[in-house]
Amino acid sequence: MNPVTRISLPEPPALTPVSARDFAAWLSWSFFDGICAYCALQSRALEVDHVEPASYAKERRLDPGNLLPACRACNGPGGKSDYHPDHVERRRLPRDTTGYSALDPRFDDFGLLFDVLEDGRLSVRPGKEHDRALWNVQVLLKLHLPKKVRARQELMELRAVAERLVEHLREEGLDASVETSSPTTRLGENARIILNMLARRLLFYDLFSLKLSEDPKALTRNRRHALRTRECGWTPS
Amino acid sequence: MNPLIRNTHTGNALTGGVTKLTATPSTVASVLAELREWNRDLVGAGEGAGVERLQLFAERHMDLRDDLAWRAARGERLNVRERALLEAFDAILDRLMPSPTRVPPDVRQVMDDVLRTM
Repeated sequence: MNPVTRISLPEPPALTPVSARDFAAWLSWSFFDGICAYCALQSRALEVDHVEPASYAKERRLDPGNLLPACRACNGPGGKSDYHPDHVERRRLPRDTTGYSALDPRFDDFGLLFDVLEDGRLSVRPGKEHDRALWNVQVLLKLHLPKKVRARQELMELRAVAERLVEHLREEGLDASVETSSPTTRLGENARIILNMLARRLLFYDLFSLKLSEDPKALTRNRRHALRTRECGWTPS
Repeated sequence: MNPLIRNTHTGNALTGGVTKLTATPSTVASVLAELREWNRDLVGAGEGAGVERLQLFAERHMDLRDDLAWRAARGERLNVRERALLEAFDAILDRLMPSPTRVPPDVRQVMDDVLRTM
């Protein structure tokens, strides 16, 4: 049975790739504004990760379905690296005999696996995927380390401020959308700045199923598309 | 491969294959001492310093760290040295980890401003 697809990527560009890096622009566009597919945080420089390491699946080295954008922290030696359930180094761990797979936002619903607490920590939800999710956080991707927690905490704060701001604007009878909020008032200018920032981090909230009471997509829809097309040299045909 | 991790059945350093292993007290003490020394070297170093050394270190010891982390995550009680090793390792990993992009200071200022005025 095929796993349920949570994130549908657009068709990859038709090209004759020489290296996986050739898909970087497409992945960047698909995941929006430098979001790492594993920790869902934005990073300055993303790498193209082979979900199945090239050493274990040579034939998938240039398969766009085997590629995800990942930050150095998640993809490097302190993170996923060349993880594969059969990787000899991993199989030496006495308690790692289950062959848990790495998180994959295309098929895993992060919102079902985790709660993001207000202080930025991840709380693993109970359920049949509990152990795998816990293993990803504590062992493979190390999402519990303070830098990641602080970055998540900031995004949760941003969301809370945006929530209050939208509510306040509504009480004042003003439109909260990025496109129409009036820049002539201080409140309107603040709304524009915060909702722009929210738009840049929207995939983070999407992945963890964190919703604003106001539909964030309605608030930021046009801005999101504009960001994508401006910041990436490739757009789908 | 970490030559300090030994097959608990034979006492030999690992040479491959799937065997049941454990981190012995002497292994933990030895790696902890090495980590502490490294941690001292890195005090004051900028973000990303020592990445090459981490890669080397990770190849040798990450399996030990991961083993301890998984035991702790499953609720197993670690002894003092094991806990210290895990904490030291995580502190170093955190220091070497490139920071995710944070909310920019000007947006933070706006957020504070909004919270003050509402």
